[in-house]
Order: sequence, then structure tokens, then C-alpha cells
Amino acid sequence: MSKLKQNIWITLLLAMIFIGILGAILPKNPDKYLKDRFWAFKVHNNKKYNFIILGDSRTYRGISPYEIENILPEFSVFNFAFSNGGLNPIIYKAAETKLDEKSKSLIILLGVSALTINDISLPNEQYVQELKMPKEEVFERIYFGKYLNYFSPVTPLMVKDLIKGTKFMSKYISIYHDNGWVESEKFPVDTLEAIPYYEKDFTSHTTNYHLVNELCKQISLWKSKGIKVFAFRPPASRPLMNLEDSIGKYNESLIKQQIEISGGYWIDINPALYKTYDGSHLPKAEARELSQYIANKIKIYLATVSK
Amino acid sequence: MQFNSIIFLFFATLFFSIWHFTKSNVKFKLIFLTIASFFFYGWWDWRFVFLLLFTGLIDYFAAIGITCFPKYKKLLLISSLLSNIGTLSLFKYSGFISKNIDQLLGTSLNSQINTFFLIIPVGISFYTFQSMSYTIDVYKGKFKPTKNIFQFFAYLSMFPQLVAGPIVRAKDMLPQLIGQRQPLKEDCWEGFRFIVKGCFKKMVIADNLAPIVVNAFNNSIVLESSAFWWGAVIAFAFQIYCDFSGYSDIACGLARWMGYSFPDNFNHPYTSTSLREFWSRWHISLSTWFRDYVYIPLGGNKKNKCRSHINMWITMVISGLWHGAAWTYVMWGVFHALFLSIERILKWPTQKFSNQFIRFLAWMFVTLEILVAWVFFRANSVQHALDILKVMFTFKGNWSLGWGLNGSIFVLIIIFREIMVYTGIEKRVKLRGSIGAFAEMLLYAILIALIIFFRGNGSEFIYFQF
Repeated sequence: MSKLKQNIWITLLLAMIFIGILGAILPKNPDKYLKDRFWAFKVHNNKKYNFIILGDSRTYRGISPYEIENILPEFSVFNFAFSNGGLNPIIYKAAETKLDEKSKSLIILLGVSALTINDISLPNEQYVQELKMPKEEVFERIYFGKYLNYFSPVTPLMVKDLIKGTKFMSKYISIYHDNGWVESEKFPVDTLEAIPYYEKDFTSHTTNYHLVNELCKQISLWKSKGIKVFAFRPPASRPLMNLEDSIGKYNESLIKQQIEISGGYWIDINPALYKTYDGSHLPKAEARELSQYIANKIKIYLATVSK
Repeated sequence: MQFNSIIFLFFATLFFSIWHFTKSNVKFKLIFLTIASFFFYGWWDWRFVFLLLFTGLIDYFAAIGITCFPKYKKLLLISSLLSNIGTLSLFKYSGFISKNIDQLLGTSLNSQINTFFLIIPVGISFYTFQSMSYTIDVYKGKFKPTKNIFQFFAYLSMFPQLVAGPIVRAKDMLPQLIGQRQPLKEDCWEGFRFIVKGCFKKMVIADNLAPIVVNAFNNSIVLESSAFWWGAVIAFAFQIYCDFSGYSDIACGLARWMGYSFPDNFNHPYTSTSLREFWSRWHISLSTWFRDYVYIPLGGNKKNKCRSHINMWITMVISGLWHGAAWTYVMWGVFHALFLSIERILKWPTQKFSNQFIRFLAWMFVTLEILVAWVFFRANSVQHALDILKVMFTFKGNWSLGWGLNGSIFVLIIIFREIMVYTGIEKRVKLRGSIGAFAEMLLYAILIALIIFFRGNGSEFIYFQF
């Protein structure tokens, strides 16, 4: 091997030593890669399921497919909810592509919060953005996301904090599951945190009943195709749900009635039983409980129908 | 496919593994290079591979026709130019032209354009110009066209420079393609250095400065702080320089590994003490293209003084439009033309300054011109640019440049590097012998580690959009 070619190998070896040392010393940001991988996988994985969950962040943090599968083992469950996810044709079409048409029994579970039937979530921005992502980036995120964590990029500011001894503390713990659930926890708990954001959203946009009508039409259509549709209102803190009802003009009994008329099955949830960490999202333990409750309700319904 | 992506790492590894075995068979080498380049381009959007093929085939046959049928050579050249300019206009300028007509006449042409034609194919301006120079040079009799279609397409679509240059001339590249030359030992090390340098410029400097620039220019409200805007414009000047010269370095490095040589595209432009010097150091392959195929055919400076100024203005405005279909780019070209004219009238020295202080003042003035021009280049509209410039020159608000610790570190790195070149220190401190070689290896190893851990949020190369 020539000397100059040798230089390349020596340089790479030295670089590997530096990378090994820096990788061990520098702070990590595990959330970034796992989160990126999670969303890319959610949109671009080609697996088919016979139980799809739709909704917004309250649903993807609040419903665990594991619990549903434990109670309803004949189903493979996928949480297909997105941040600011709207219940509208964009997501209906996408959800249908995830359904396993060969399955005898198909279920769609809808988390109908006030923001899912609101013009704010109409563009389904997160889903569309992920969908449009270049395929090489999708490939990178899905297949290398797990391993790239060691090479997490840092900033000079993070290095300064490291030298000064300031610890990089993540107070929002999220575990991203391939079945679409985000197992969450946040410290310290602040149940009023989400209120100003909801207030701001509802001041400009209230529940759009045209979208509710469209949802009902879609439920009828799904029913005609043999797909069973269940819906619920994702629980939140009492003040936040009051805000949804008042400024957000969310009329739960009317929505429930319309969904049931269209052929859907409404699952009543008692919000007082579930505690949130920020006013709108459930921590993992509560999410598990809620999922079990919903799964049991569905189980009972399916048993009644089959009789 | 981006150079700074894992998928490209796979592509390049596979490509060079096979390339190694193409040593003796030129025919296979050309076919392989063409197919690999088409795959590289098609990865972005396969539909536009057909566009590349279409315009390429027209030029390939037009060039052969020019030598076979000299009687019709003008007609063949015109049809080749029309197809290139027509394609470029259709994809790059139809939206801009129709919008302006709509505004002027109150029509609704823009909404009638098929959305397919509103997609700007990546690198269209680069490969169209490369293709045009081929037929023009054949027409002028500078060289004979190739009859080997793979040699032509290997030249036109060569993946390292396909989407963002440097714009390579056929007379330089075609002989290299059919040559039996294999990468020399020096080429491997030299190519490696180019690639590491390019990745550092792009992934560490440019990508870390990008958030500062985006936050400033994408904000709908123009912040009332002069220092903040000076900071944002300086950050953009370094971002675009490191982004584009980084790409060129990687392209040159890859070409070296293949045994080819690309011309230098950048030569520390921000050390220039005149605008003329700046244009001989910035995007050299494009500025020489405009000089040879626009400025000189218009008459250059061979006619009277007034005419040479007009020729230069036309060239600069077209150069502005080449970058993008917007009035901001036109203004950027106009601004450069204006100061180039002033330099000519004042007989501004191009490089030689006997007094260091005067040289420094000249540098300051030229840098100021360049920065002001960048405002037009980056702003969202001409009005937006004027609003920013108004704030910049009223010297008000707080004195924070808005870089924070993160931005400051990366700006200082690049300023330090340019000072080393400007003052000539870099040449003086070069170590020789085995210590020098080890120091160099150590430096590049550190650069690689820094690329891994201090890379910014990966973004597309800025010049892809042009």
C-alpha cells in the first residue's frame, strides 16, 4: 500500500479514536433520533393491521396498543394518531391503507377531541410533512435511528454546560413504540400548562360541525364496508375539558349522538378517573388504564354483537 | 441524493467498489458511470431523468449534425439552444413570468400552468449550461463532438457535479473520460482531504449557521436592530460560501477518486479587495461560463467603453436570473453590475495595493458591497430587502449580533481560516516532513470527529435549488 493511501487509513483510525472518546464524554440527546425514527416508521411502515387508532397527541400518548392486544388478542393494533392530527379525509384515506383487508374483523378507534374536528388540524401537517419526507431520509431514520444516538450532535453551548457541570436534564420522558404509542411522563406535573395553548387555539377556531358531519358520513361508509368504528373523547383535566366545551364549542352529547346514528359506537369515559401531567396528556400508567378500559368495552360490544 | 446522507455513503461505497474494476475497459467505465449518475439523479425524482435524457440527446445529435452538415450548423445550434433555454424557461421561469404577467394585466395565467412544470428539477441550471457549452464549442470548432453516446452522457450527467456544479467544460472533460488514467496515489489522499474539508464546511459551519439565517429572514417582522441584521447577513455570507464551496470540494474529491480533475470553483472570495477579484474567486466555473458564452459574444470590452458597461450589466442581470426566478436575484445582479461599473470608472486596482492599510480599507469596502448584495439575494422580496437595509444603515437597537455562543464559534472558525489565508500565515506555518504529514493526518482526524459531533441539522445544499 502506498504511503499516501496509508495516510487515509491512519487518519480514519485516529478519527475513530477521537469519535470513541468524544462519544463517551459528550452529552446525548436520545429523544431526537428515536422520535424521528418513530414518526418515519409510523407513516412509512408497510405493515397491515386490523385495529387502527386515529386522533391527536392525546390519543397517541393516551392509548397503548399493548393493552388492547392483551385483552383482544385476535387484533393487531396500531396507533395512527398524530400531533395536531385532524379527523378528516387526509387521515381517513391514510388509515385505510394501513388496514389489513384480508382480516375478518376490522376496527377503527377514534379519539375525538375538540382539536381533531377543528380547522386548525385540517391540514394534518405532521402526517403530510412526514409523508413528503425524501425516501433516503426515511430510510436513514427507520434503519439507523436507533444506532445514531451515540453520535448525537452537540452544540458549543452544551459543551460549555458540560464543562461547567450543568447537567442536561430531560424533564419530558417519552418512550417511542413501534406500534405508535408514546409512553410519556413529565416532571414536574403542571396540569394547567396546556390551558393557554388551548385558549389561543379556541379563540381563533371552534369545533367545526361540518367536519363532524363528514366524520359521520365516513363512519357510515366504513360500516358499509364491514369496519366497526368506536369513538371516545380523550380525557383531560377538568378545566381543559371545560375550555373545550365552552370556548371550543365541543358538544359531547351531540357528537356522541351523531356518531351513534351513523353506526359508530361511543365509549363514555369518566375524565375524573384519569390524571394528566400537563392538563391534556396522560402519563403511561393512566394511559394503560384507559386502554384497558376501552379494550374491555370493545370486547363486551363484540361479544354482544356476535351473540 | 445528498452528499451528506447515509444513503449516499452506501451509493459511493458501492460505486467505488465497482469503479475499481473498470480500470482497463473504457467502454464499460463510461456505461457504468452514466447508469450510476442517472440512478443518483433519479433517486430525487425519476421522472426528470427523462428530461435530462431528452435535452442531452438533442445536444448530442445537434453537435454531430453541426460537423456533418456544416450548411445547417447555425440552424442546428439554434435548435439546440432553443431546446435548452426552452426547457429551463418552462421549468424555472414559467411561474415567475406568468405571475408577473398576471400582476400586470390582471390575467390568471399562473393558475393554468400544470403543477408538474412548477417543480424545478434539481440542478437544471447546471446541466443545461454544461450541455449548451458543448454545442456552442462544437459550433465554434473548438473540438470535434464525440460519437460515443455514453461518453457524452457520462460527461453531462457525471454525478459528483450533476446537481450543483462545478460546470465542467467538454473540452476539459471529454478527453479525461476516454483516457486510461487511473487515480494516482496523490489523488486518493488529495480527494480524501477535499471530501473531509467539504463535509466540514457544509455540515458543521453552514448547517450550524442556517438556523440564525432562517430565524432572521423567515420572520415576517423585520426586527429593529442594526447589529442583529448585520449579524444575520454576515452569517448568511458564510453559510452560502461554506455550503456551496463545501459541495464543490466534495465534488472535486469524488472526481479525484475517480481519476478525474475538476477546475477550482472557489478561491477564498471574501479576501478580495475588488469586486472584479471577487468574481474571479466566487463560483469560478459559472463566472467564466458567463464571460465566455455571454459577455464575450456580446462584444466584451472590445467595443467602446459604454458598450462594455452595457454588456457587463446584461451579463450580471442574466447571472442573477440564473440563480432564481425572482426580482431579488435580478436586484442582486444589478447591484453587482453597478459596483463593477463604478470600479471600472474609478480604475479600482484589482489586486495590488502597496499600502497595507489602503488594502485593508479596500477589502472593507468590497466586503460591505458584497454583504449588501447578499441582502437582496436572501430576502423574501425586494421590499423586504429594502426594509432590512434601512434597519442596517440606521444603526439603531441593541448591539447583539444574534449569534449566541453557538453561532459565534462557527463564524469565528471561518473568519480565522480566512484571516490565515488573507495574511499569508497559512503558507508560512506549513510543517514539512514526517511531522508535517502526521500533523495533517491529525488535523483531518479531528475534522472528521467534529463533523460527527458538531454537525448541524442536515439541510439541502442551497445551490440545489438553482
